[in-house]
Amino acid sequence: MIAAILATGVYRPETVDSLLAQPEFRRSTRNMALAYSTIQDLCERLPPNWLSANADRLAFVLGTSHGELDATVQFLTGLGASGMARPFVFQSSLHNATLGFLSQMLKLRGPAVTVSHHYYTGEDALTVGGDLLSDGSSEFALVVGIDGLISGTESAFQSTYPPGIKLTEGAGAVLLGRADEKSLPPLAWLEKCSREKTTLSPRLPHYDANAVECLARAVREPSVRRLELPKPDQTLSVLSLRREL
Amino acid sequence: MGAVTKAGFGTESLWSRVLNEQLLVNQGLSRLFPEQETALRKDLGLAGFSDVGSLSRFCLIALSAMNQAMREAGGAPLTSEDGLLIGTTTGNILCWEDGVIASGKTGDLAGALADHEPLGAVLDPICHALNFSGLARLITTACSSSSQTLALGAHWLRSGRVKRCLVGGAEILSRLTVEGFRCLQLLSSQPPTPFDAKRAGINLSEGAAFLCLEAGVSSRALAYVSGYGMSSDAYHMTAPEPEGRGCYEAMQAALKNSGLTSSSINWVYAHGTGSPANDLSEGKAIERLFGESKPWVSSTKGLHGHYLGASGAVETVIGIHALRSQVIPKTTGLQNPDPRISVRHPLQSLREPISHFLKNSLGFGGSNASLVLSHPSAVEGSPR
Repeated sequence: MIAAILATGVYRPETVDSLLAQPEFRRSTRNMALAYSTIQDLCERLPPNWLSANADRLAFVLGTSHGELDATVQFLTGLGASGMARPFVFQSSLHNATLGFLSQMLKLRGPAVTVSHHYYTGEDALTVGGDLLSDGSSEFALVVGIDGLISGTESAFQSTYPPGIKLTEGAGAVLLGRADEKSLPPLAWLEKCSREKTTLSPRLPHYDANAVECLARAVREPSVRRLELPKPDQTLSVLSLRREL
Repeated sequence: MGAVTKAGFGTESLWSRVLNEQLLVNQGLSRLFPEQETALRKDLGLAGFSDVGSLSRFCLIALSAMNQAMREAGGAPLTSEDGLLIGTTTGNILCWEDGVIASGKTGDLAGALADHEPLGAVLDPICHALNFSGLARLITTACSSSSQTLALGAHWLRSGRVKRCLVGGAEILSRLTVEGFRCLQLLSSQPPTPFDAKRAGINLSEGAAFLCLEAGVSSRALAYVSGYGMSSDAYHMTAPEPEGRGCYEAMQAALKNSGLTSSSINWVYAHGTGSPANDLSEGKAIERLFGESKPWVSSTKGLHGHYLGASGAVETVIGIHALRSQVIPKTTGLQNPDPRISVRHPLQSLREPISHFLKNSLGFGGSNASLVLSHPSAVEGSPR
């Protein structure tokens, strides 16, 4: 894949709680607020109203490993405790719920795909975004990688990861365009996502979909051309960047 | 092609049930029989898969359908030059769901979640069982998931990224989905009656279907994926856009991608869940796109229910049998068509020429996918 990176966004923790207090987020999950905050950051780096003006020409790809586990847990524990099933919690429980919510909020009408692949969730979201550009499905692809944590259960999650991995939550977003995109000046080009063996330890703290955020931050550093992301399973994910075409 | 459903193992048994209008649903659900799981473990063991005793129910049905598809495609195992795309909404949820439900009373959520694994982690045991190290993705775009695997698989082949691609989906019925759809008042205890004026809701099913896709034209081809399209409603988390705008755009994109016009489509194999909102919205979209060309429109969910993330793949398999048999299945349960849906329903299964059919999958979150499938005779000389 060679895709132009046209804008980036990173998770802004300070905005999440205030978003969740707003009426339109009343029934949303933490993942939804995290992702929205990240897209807001990305939009601030685009011309005004760019996203809404291009909503029909934009694919939306969301990568999440644990998905809407918070809502799933709420639904299932409620079912266990009282036998009551709560419809608004159910509709937020699928991995696709964040994508559906944000498509609705941002009026995004193009192709939309949610992917999940454990440690490689972010990388898969990026490559599927590239697929939707190269097959002509869309002119732009908004790729978001996200994973929230359920408060109070970190230790349980921790136990499903290799020793030494400290988990966190986070989100990142990149706007991809075709390699020869002219309407927005590319910040860099994503040339390749590959994987190799390594003995390196993951960056700490870790979340599974972190590749998108790591890419978003790396693009802002002009010298970075190769982004190495060691994974908890002793593989190394490599994202190759070009600074000129 | 391969499938595991209540009808049995293999796509022929599923097609036979559809053709003979034998219901696979009971009191709102279509669950696999307990003895089928035992038989699956035995079959996969005989087929040379290792550690079948430790495989989850989800992995068992997925691997069985994959194994059938690979056998029918010639039997060669997947190599690192091939691809694998799996569609599902809840994957291995049964491995941890009961513990979390119980924690509602015990309060030990942390203990219950120790058994949790992220959705995409299910790719690991499946790739391991297949001894596969190539390109693998898990798509979880609600009920469009497995249709999207066909779309992305077709793209990977067209672009030369892979030589073959195993695509499809699997779904196991869980408390989350059954109680969730029930509380949304979408689940009917009676068999669904898609497009009927008195339709009362959907039935839920578990099963798997996979297809082995190869590039180019082949004398062994059962059918061709001629085109695909995807869109979003951007309207509501669970309800479709009432005028079917998103569905219309997905179908339109699929036609454009296939290079065909609406008049080339002989049959629209609808998502047709039997829910009041879905069928009305989809019907309006079909009516608007096809206008006077009026292809036949039917849904088979009245017989087998809704396989959720696997539904696109299961129904593509049924559709390919229909294409090869040149039989358009009727919409079982449809007695009094909803007068607001002006499409052409086959009131009996029809022996009709089918060159191309269009398959819709419409998911929660407003995620839509449409596929155009073509008879081999219709694409000779125009490889895609």
